[in-house]
Amino acid sequence: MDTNKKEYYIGRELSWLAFNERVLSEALDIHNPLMEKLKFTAIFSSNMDEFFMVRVAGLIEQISAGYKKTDIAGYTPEEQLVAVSKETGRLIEKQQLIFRELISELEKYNILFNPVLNDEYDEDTEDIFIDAVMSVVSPVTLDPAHPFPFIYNKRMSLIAALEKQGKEYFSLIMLPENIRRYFVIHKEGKKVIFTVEEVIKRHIQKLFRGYNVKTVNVFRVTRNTDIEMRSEEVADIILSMKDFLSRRVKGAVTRVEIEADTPAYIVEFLQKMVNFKDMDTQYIHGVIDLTFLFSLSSLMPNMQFPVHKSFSIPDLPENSEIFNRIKEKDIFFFRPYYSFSTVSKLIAIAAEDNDVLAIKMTLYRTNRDSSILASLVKAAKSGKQVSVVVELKARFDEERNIDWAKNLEDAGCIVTYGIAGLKIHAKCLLIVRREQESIKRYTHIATGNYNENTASLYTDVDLITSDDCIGRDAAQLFNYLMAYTEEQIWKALSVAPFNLRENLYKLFDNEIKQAKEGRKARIIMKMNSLIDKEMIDKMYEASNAGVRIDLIVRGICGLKAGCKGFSSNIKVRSIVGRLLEHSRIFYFENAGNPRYFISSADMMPRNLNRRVELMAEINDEDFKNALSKFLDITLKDNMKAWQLMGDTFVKIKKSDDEEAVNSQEYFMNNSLI
Amino acid sequence: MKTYLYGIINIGASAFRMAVSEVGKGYIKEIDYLLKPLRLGVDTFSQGYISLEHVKYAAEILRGFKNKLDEYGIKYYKAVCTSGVREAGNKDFFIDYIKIHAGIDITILEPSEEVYIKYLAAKLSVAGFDNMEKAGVVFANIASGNITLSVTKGNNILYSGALPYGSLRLRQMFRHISPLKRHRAFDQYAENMVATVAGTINKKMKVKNLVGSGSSINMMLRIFKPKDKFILREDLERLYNKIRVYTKQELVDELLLRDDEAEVLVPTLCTYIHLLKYTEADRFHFSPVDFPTTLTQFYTGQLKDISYHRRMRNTTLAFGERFNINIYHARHTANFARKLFMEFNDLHSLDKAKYDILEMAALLFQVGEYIDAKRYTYNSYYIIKSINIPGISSRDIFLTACVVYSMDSISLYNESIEGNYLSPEERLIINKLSCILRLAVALDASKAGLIEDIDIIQKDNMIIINAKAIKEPFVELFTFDKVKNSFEETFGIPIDIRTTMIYD
Repeated sequence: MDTNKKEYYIGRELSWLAFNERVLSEALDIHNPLMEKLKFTAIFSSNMDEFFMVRVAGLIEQISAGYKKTDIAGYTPEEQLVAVSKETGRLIEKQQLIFRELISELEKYNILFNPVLNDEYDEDTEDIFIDAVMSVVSPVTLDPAHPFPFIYNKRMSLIAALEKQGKEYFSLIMLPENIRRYFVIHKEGKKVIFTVEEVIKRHIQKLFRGYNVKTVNVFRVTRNTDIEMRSEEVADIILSMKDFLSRRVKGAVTRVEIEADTPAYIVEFLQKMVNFKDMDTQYIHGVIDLTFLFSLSSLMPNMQFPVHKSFSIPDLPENSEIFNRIKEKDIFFFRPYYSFSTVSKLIAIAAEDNDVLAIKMTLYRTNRDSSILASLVKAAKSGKQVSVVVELKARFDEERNIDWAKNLEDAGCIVTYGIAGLKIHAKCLLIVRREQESIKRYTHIATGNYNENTASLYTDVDLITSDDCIGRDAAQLFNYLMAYTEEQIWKALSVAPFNLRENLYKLFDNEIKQAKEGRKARIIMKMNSLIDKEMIDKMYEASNAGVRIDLIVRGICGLKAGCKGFSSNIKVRSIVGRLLEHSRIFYFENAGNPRYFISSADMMPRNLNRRVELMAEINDEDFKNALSKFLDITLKDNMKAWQLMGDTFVKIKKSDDEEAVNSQEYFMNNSLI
Repeated sequence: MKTYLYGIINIGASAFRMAVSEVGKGYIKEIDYLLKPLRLGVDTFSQGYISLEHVKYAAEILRGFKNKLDEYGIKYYKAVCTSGVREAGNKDFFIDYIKIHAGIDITILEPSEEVYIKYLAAKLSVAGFDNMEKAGVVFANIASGNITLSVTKGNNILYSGALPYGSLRLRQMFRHISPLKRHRAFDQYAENMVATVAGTINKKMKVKNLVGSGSSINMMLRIFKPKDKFILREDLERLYNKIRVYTKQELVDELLLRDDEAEVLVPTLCTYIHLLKYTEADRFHFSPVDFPTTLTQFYTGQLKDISYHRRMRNTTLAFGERFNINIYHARHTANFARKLFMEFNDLHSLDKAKYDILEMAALLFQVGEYIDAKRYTYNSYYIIKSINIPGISSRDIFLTACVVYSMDSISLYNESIEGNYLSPEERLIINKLSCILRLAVALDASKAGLIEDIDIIQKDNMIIINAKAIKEPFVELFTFDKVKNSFEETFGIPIDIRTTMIYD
């Protein structure tokens, strides 16, 4: 097989855009309540923002640096940017179309969105304008004394063309970050929603007395936020990170969304002043930035998904007895079907337990009011050694992590920032306890972050174990991350970038060997992204050897499925539902003695080469059965599943005689453990 | 089982290591292990001192290690350093800086202690070591700074010493030579080392086994992946011939080594090959126990050396033989010394370790006669001081030399001997031991074994030695009379001798 053929692979950016289209498609799914459809529309927008801030920014940087290296599918950065520009334009149009349909649906429930402003709402919107808008906006009318201001990332802005005594002026209104995005007027049994920009447009003349407002249009700039830190080996990483954050605000423009009816001369003026090109311009036939739709759901609570009540691990002690319980049997559960509070409680108990000597954890993303971190502070204050390895570079959570790092240090925790050049993505907690004159370690390994908020939205898997080998490896991991050691002998865990890739290849090779010897060989891998070429080639090799491979890939997938000659034995599915699929679970048939693994790593070069990631084997038979069932149901999903046909994901359609299987709903209603 | 936690920190010439273990009676379980490469030896072996930059980095590493000690609440730990610090001109500054900035107390491990501990660990961990010892074995610990060699046959240590041929030291010495030719320099140097050792051993004494240990073993295991506990000479030679001209980066890439390992691989292989040539063995056995684990075993009393005393005595006598001492006289004197030491326990209140010094002094006091019988104590002092015996610290050897030196006169009021400062406690020990030694020597002054045994009687505030003689011991009585006053001055009680003829 010629692995240099670009036809064998799908480019990363287009694959990601296809994923976002699957998200957007949820806004059309008749099984989803109306408010949830709006949320999916908002998620699509939010995802798209990040795409432009990071991925498109990266392409632009590559082009300006003269970088010609092609991607996995053989496209140069220029070619990718052209393709991305075209595809994002199509998707934004599709989103606006869907949004208009949703507005029509809202009307059936007496919710009106930005209705044509007539006298009926004039007084209400005027009140809003005077009370909530006028005092917080500061128009800048451009003249030599008032140059064009810097337009911040994702800041909704308006440009007005004014006329006074035959002379034309431009005035710019950049909306403050904390201004309300929409206002709801309750009138005659109706709920009428006005976006702030609509209110301003309606009453803008009040801002410019003495001028004639000729046109007013909304636009929004997206900037590069993927700016590199200057050096990873600086003396004070916090200071360096603050410098980086201040520079990031002023990154280069990657996109400008602008109302489609904006006069051409104004667009040209903006292009000149803000420094962007035609290719960076997105003309919006509708409302710019639909992320605000997240919060609309409160308008109709009955039009949302029913509240999901998590299962709890049965008979779990809420005191130090929990350690004996873990010694009897590991704890294993699926988030959010089971409550993540098990982990929070474990840490809280450890913080108060007299026999606990030390608590260590990695911190990639966490929530603002994290009870876990509060417990760590408590533990440190009570004299335990608490070590936290903070990844300051968790994208868009940097500032929060800096704050937490400072809080933890003030409380007496040992806070370190990992290893230069490696992002710490592994999710690991280690509790060291002195029990009857010996040391016992309790380890928590998960596929998801220590974030109590996202724990209820992301699907993940958690293992809490007293296994000695895992504990020893976890201790070594922290020793490494805290720069205490460079020892790299892993007995139970696979750790990227050291041996995770190698160990996965060994598992693949074993399946290839089984297939070649005529035995059943099968691999199931569930992950978020698959774009590592070497890994994809290994999958193709296994497929060609006769190994049956089922992949469940939520997002980016660089592999083409079911193609004769290189992937005829590979099926790829993608589940997009109310929860964000986030768990990484790997299954290897192993000649009838199946092996199951959970991991924090996606199959991307960054995860396998440049991040610290963990993979742990699940050995308990009960848990293996649960994982088997989990994968089985996931593969049977015919309500929220998409199948990759060649290079295109196609929504699976349930046939009439088939039982409907929505895997996420199934797991919400059926306990697996 | 009652257990406690014990921490060992080993500051080597190329890396810092730390082991945390649970220790109980006959039980050691390592629960944490740290390794941080820092080539202090690069500084020490090339410029003679540790650079300030490396002193500071060492403190940073050891602060991390200290955090580990604190994490486990460890009360008992030992931090030792070997040649990388030991041979540095600024070792005292280094130790002080670490104490202030990392809160770690470092002890310098002497070469003789180092080789003894490693030898002992190999003896207990290498299968068949005792049998190899019977046939003669070279035990080689190839570390970054030094190679510690111990050649034993039966219960005799034929040679022991720490030689400045460590792999990193060699690498540093020849760093300016092209990689294409550098291996030839290693060859010459290793050949010289083997010749030095062989020259001190009777040519008829064949040793046929080689046992290796040291931090390089782990690297060798990863490269050779031996199925058993030995590596074949032909495998070593094959690899050596292939990679001896490789650059460091080529070694890293091809053999997946760390940088610090790649630097020392070629000199390490070269040294093993030369030692194998010397022993004519086709393989070398290795000790699977690494140094921090060995240190933990040693300092927690789990390395039991049951033949220690016999081996020390034999080794000491073997050393004396090189100087043509009267073995019979030495043994006889040592026996009297032992008896006097035991009987005077209430008077001197010295512990068992001091007896070892006395015994060694009794066995070796004649060595100076080889040069000049008149000033033999002076000569003996310098000869004994230069001895290196595994398991005996250099300070104890020095004290032994001082005991012999002081046989001529009481040195209680001298703060130093030949320019070497003595603490008040050491001066007291030397005086007490040399006083006992004088009596012991006097009891066989004729070197004819006329006094076979003694009884010691204490009465009327006086000590009487009842000597059982086979002939009238005129010389012994004369000599005893000359030294008895010093006994009273030292212990505050008069002593005298009576003779009982055995034929009576």
